[in-house]
Amino acid sequence: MSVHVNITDGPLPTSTFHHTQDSLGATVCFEGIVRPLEGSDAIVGLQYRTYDPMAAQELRRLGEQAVERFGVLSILVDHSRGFVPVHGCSFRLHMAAVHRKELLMAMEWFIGQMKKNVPIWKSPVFDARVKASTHN
Amino acid sequence: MAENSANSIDPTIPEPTMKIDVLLFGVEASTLGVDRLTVQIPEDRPTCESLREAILEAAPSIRPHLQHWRISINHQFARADQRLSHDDEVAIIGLVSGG
Repeated sequence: MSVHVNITDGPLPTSTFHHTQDSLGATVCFEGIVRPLEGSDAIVGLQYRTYDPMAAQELRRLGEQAVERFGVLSILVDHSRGFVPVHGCSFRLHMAAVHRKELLMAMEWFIGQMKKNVPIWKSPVFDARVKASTHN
Repeated sequence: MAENSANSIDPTIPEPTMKIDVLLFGVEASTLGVDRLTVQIPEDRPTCESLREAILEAAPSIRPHLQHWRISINHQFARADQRLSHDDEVAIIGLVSGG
């Protein structure tokens, strides 16, 4: 069982992670991408604030719980801190398991729990030029 | 009849009190415009529940978000009856928005 967590500044670089377990039959990589709109307002990106080291601790705890509950083989979690521009990747979750059923359940569970419990916050950074022209 | 001095309250002995710095994030920080709040509680080792009450008294504008609060002590979520110590790092963890 392996659980790895990284919190890094800015958008996440392209992943080069490879699962190496002999028994694995399925892998999934989920990426969270910053969308260009917040409601109907254009944004230039999202500003992420993380409560370190609790954020990494909680992500690791979720990973260990996912292994225990669903039997997945390995988990890699990457999350951004600081500014991530539109279309940038701010969250990546890699999982590997023997079968796809437990893998997909574990992915959904992990992301749902993260969005409720892990001390990370994001706030939109609006395009000031668009906002100014809208109000003129 | 004179009072028994052993039964009277000595005004020279200060009441126990604890000053706590509370880290703020998310909507609590943006509502107050600060990322930490200092509260004083008239107890030596208050519980997290006492801390919640003290925070609400000091910053009533964040009461609407109370239902989402959890308190962390030294980077661990704490129970309501858990007591604080002087060197603890304390934070309010409200609604989070990772991912």
